[in-house]
Amino acid sequence: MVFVRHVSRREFLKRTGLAGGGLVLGLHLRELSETWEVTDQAYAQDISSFPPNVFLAIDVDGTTTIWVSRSEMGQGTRTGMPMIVAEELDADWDSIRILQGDADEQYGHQLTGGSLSTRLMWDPLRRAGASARWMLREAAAQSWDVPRAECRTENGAVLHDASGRRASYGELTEAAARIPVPQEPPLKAPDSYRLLGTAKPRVDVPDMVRGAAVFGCDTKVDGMVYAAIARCPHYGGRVGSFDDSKTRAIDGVLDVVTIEGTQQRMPRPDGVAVIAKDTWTAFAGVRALNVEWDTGPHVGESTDDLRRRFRELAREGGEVVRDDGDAEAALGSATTVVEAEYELPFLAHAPMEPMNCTVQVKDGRCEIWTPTQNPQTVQRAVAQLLDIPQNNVTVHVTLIGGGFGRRLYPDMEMEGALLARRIDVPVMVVWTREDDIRHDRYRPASHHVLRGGLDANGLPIAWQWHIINTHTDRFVPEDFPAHSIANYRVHYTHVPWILPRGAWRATTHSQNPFVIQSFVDELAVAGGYDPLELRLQLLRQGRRPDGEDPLYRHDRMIRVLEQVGDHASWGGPLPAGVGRGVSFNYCYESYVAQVAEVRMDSEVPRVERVVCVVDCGQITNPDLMRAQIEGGVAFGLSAALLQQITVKDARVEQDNFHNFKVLQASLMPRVESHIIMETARPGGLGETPLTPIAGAVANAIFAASGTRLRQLPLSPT
Amino acid sequence: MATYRLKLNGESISVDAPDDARLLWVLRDQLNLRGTKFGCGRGLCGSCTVLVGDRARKSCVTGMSNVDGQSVTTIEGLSADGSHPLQQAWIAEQVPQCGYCQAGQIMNAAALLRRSLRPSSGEIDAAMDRVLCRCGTYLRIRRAIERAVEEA
Repeated sequence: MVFVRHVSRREFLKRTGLAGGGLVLGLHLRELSETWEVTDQAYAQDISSFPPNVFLAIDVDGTTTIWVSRSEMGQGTRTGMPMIVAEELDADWDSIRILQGDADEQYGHQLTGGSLSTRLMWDPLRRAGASARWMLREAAAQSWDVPRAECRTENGAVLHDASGRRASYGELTEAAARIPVPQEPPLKAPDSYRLLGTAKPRVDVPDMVRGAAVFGCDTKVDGMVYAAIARCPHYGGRVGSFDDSKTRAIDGVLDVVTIEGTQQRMPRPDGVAVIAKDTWTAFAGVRALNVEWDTGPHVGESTDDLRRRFRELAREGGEVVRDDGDAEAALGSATTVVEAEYELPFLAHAPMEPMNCTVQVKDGRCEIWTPTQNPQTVQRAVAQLLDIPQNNVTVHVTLIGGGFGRRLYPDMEMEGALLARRIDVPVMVVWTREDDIRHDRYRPASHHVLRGGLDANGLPIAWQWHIINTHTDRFVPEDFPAHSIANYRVHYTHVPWILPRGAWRATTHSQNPFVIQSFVDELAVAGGYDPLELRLQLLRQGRRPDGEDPLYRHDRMIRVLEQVGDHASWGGPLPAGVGRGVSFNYCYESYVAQVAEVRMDSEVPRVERVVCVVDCGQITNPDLMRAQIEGGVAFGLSAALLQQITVKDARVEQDNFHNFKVLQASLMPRVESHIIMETARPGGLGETPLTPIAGAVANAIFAASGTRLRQLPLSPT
Repeated sequence: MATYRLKLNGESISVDAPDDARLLWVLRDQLNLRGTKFGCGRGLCGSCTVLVGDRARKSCVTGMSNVDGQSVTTIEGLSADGSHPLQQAWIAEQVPQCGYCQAGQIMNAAALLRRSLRPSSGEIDAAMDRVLCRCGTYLRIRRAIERAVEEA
């Protein structure tokens, strides 16, 4: 449930700095954990004591202000969220002003990740718009002395057709502010949407193409200085000793200070920081440092050793995390048993904007400007570090030059706070690309052991899977092939390791679908089935029991897979050397299937075409969705074909884009996006489209060449 | 420390910078032109691409002595008001996602169009391989360049 009430003008002005007059609605909502529900009965009793947490204001000049509490990192949130409000409000889109919210618990949680923004905000934002529209109509009806039902709204105005009268929202807003807020404002039927479902251009693109968009690293604060940090490259290592005489001799270097790291919950490396009058001087100061690192207790560790340990563990069992039927017995009675091992490396996020933040600590208060996906965690972590009240930490969220999960973690802001408290001016901490790639929260490496059993007809009857992962909990029990294969057992072994691990776009779903969709292909080949046909058959014979995942709809998954086959002309002729591979996945309330076409006549697999069918429920803005599909394919292809992080002497071996590669323009395939219109809740789309691509490409490589690649990045040589 | 003279976005300026200073940081920190972005510091990603004369240059590895006396154009100087055909095409095709690399993409495309009025798709690919986009906007970048060529 979402509650809407009036906000006092004073309260609103205090929080918004606006000076307009008119209708101001504060919207209560509580977003709990990472579930789709925004309902909370208990909260209803609390309403009077809670200040509102999302604002919608209609000024007397008609300007409609919407506060966006989530971060913009390229997914279009600053455009998509306001479209939802504006639709229910029947606002004039050009009168909408969008403002970014600072960190504030009153917004509910503000984490931008998990493809959550549209899913969580869908109901509250619609209700906010609908409440305001109801009140504006009521105000018009009262002033014209006509029934409210005879008044309609359109493009920022209320109209009474019978009398030809019309009043703009700006003219009505002061009267509307005196109308009681409706408890259950009527919401529009999806088939009457005028704005949602249209490809409204993004609000921030004009600034971006002029170089006027302000990212974190573009922050300018009076009197600011710049810092760069030499961080210990060995995980668990420390600063031994250092000689900073050459650094201090550089004109413009202001100070050199050590920063103590931690291996605790929010790990940060030990380092030596150079504070300077500008970025270049800070970088030059770091280069001139002579640091002897104490390499620490893990210096013998390497990813080669880790992979050996994976292979040893592969021979043992793990904790049983799913156990349907009797996989062991079914494998014993199977006509054919297929065995395979798959392996995925660590990966860095490498967003184009290197990590940075600007921090000022003064008079017991801290002010931060940062491109973060997680402003409240920054606020809490910095308050704790500086031992000041959380309310004394202000976090301004800038545009984000790529997040992908990296900017959920507050290590850069904590470094900034440690430096800022030593000086009395604001300091921008700028990471180099080398810092970024060597000190990430990496996608965890994993190893997978699979055994599949086929009956006399070649149909899968058993699936046994041992997941060995450097992260806990990278398994979703209800995911395919659960229920499609009667005897399904999954073991899980967590291998703690020295690299910090974290959320990397789609987390579990960026890893396991590669394994699942490759191995189901192996079973199809072994059983003599067409890969698409076998998938459809397995889906049709399986069904999640009611209640296991109430949001999942089996028929939608099947429809997506059927349609991708049609759009890709599955089974149709292909040029020599080209193969097709199919793959599908469900996550974040969205369904996706892809067919990749891969040419294998050169050393590197050349992905030429990707056909993608997506069902993510209600379409909010189809162009934002297509952008996420194209971008997800590109991001997933970089991981599938080009990237890995390796470690030697407890030190990451990659350090820039020459050895941690990103897909280039000439390697980008044609992407054909097909979006199924399903008037249901909107599903998330920031991550889902990348999840099937590695499997689709691996399957296409097999189709083209007969070679089954089971290790990422996919490399035929 | 040395004094460098250049024609920056059409204006003659002089700026003092250390002998080893790179154009990128002089633009960003000293001249407050923050549209040009830092991405890798080694000329690998192209987010910092500007025009030196008519050619695309990665400003993070361009020493100030290499632009002394030359004409430099940044994204802020490509047009006064965002009206350059590439900027308009970028809006029409809704190219950017996070937007961070896009100034570099546009400046790189501008250099391409200065040497080739009708680049082939192979020429577009070869030129645009110099600028990385982590969000994966390449299909739209190509469409926007083709649109700018058509509408020029």
